Amino acid sequence: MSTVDQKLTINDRLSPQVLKDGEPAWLTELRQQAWETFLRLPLPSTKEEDWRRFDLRGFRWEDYHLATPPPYTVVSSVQQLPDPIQSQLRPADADQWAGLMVFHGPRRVFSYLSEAARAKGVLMDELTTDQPTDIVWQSHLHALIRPDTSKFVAAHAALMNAGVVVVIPPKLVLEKPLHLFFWLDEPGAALFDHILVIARRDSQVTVVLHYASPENLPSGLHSSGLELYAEPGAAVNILCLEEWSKSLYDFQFLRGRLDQDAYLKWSLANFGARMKRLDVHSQLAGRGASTDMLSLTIADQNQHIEHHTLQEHVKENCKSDLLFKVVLLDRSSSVYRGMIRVHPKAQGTDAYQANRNLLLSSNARADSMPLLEIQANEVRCTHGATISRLDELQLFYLMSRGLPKRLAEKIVVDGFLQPVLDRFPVPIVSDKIRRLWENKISGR
Amino acid sequence: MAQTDALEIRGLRVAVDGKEILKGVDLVVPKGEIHALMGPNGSGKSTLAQTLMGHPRYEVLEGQVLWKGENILELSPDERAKKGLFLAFQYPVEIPGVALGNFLHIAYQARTGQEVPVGRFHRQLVQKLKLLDMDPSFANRNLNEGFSGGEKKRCEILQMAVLEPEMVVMDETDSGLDIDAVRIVANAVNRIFAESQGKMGVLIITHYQRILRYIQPLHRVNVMMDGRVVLSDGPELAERLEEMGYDFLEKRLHEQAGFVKEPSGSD
Repeated sequence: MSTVDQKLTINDRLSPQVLKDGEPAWLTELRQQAWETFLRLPLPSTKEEDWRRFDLRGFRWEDYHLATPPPYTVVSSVQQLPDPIQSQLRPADADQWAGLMVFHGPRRVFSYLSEAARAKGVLMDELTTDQPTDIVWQSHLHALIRPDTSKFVAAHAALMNAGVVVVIPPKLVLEKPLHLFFWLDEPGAALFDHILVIARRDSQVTVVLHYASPENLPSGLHSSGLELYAEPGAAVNILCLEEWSKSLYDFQFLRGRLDQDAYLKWSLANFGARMKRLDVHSQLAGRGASTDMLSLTIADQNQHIEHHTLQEHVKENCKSDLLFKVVLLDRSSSVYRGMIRVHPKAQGTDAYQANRNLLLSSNARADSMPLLEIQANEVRCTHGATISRLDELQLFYLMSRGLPKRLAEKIVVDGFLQPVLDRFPVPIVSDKIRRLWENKISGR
Repeated sequence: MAQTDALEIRGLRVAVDGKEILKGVDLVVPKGEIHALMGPNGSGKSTLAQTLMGHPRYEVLEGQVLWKGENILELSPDERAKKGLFLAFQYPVEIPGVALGNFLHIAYQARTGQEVPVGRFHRQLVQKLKLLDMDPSFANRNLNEGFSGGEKKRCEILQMAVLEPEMVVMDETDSGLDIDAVRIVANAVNRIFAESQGKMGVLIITHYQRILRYIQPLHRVNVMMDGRVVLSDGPELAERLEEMGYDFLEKRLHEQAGFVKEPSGSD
């Protein structure tokens, strides 16, 4: 195998190592098509409206290679995992989750599914050729995320090197969350994970995604996709905590499709990446469906974080409520671009969208672009965006009461972010998220 | 010789945006006394208040501010607060998302360096709220956010009651208050002062005499004009000023020998 094969050099064939042993023909076919799309599409340029502030001049595919598996295979207990991974998983034990799957680079190194969940028919598995996983994959993969959306999605589809499928059977209420943890510690590694979640009719589930790397990982590329199907009456929580090193490029595509009376809550916390594009869609495709879309981002140094959202009201009487909050320190910057799209049939739509930005530095920059596209007439749509600075006067006021500058900033940030965090579904993860932002604010 | 138990301002000259506002202020407020600083609009009263607390926009050109004998002009606002200074703001600042009760708990611990359990702190806070005729639910509201003008001013005095300062500067706390609220605020100040048993000094900055009528005891009244303290006398000066008006005083001062007003724009 030549080194060229291991790099993401633009050539007309797939790197052979991404083709896992025994991968089904349909998947190979899909990869091949996606690869052709990848080659055809140009790198997004700042001339495109959607990528206007995403400056990719410093990005080169040649700098990355597909993540290599770690020098060990599957372990049978969390205690056998490398220390950095174990400390990331603390304080929760495996049995606090209904299921836990740990990826070290592209390899699944630990997997646990509680007896109870297994007995009730919960499926949580890697991308395999086993039945019935293969059928589920084949019928859903890339149905919500089209590879031709952008070069990064195409790369993801062609080079997918980690995958998880979760299926919750009808009417099952899974009390404990499922947890998927991804650890990337190899410089220059590219991870293209794909997660498929299917919540059958009237089921309930919470899935926690956690992406982490060593703080000082010098470079990396992450382009991931999550496709979620909430069948009629299903209620799903997706919580995603991302704490990459501040050197990675991160492209995250999250898509949820909701059937009649289904519910989906996104709870997203973004800390890492040098440049990040978070793309979140809730498609309300059945009557009476509703979605909450929550996100909090804390960026510092020269991080650039983009949030692109879509609240797509396809059918009548659906509700969507979006709240994205962003805190910017130092020279960091952010973009929020959010669309509420109401289809002609979607009468009785109730859509709300708010993007709030708090800037703690005069060198930070936030852009906010709320967009509306309404084709029905009986709708209620409200949106609002604010960009506020913690001004000199507020700081002076707080400091005059005895608070040092850092503490004054911290309590303002706490006050700003806590109302979002209060709506996140898993307390043990919320504690962690809060610690992370406290460190980021006071650790400067 | 610096007074060890006083706030002592010596020859203080301060500029804002390059314009000199304070042109040599001399003033002494000892602990255990309540002083008033009166003067017409634009005389520099608020500039003095903000400078004492360390507002970053106010540039000290010359002079000293000694607190217990130490020059505090190089200290940051939080360091001054820790040394016992407190400013009741003329325009209290709204801090969205920060609950008053939590904030005061954090501020109390930061100011005193002592840890206090939340429960005990909250019980004390409720007592202080009563003192100012404020509903206990105030503790849960965001700091100054959506407060009426009167509520903001009362909240300033509440913070003063909680943080137990040793030297208080009240910057036009009475402005914008109706007469009932003025009385509540003045009574609260009297109580806090009495309870401090001589450990606290107060400087009440005001345009009007009316709050001073309720302040007990009032030790001294100082008058500021055009960036200087020009007159200092017993409490009866406040009433005299009310009768005469600042214009009259200004004229009288001009007639006196040795007082020469600089023509404006003379720099």
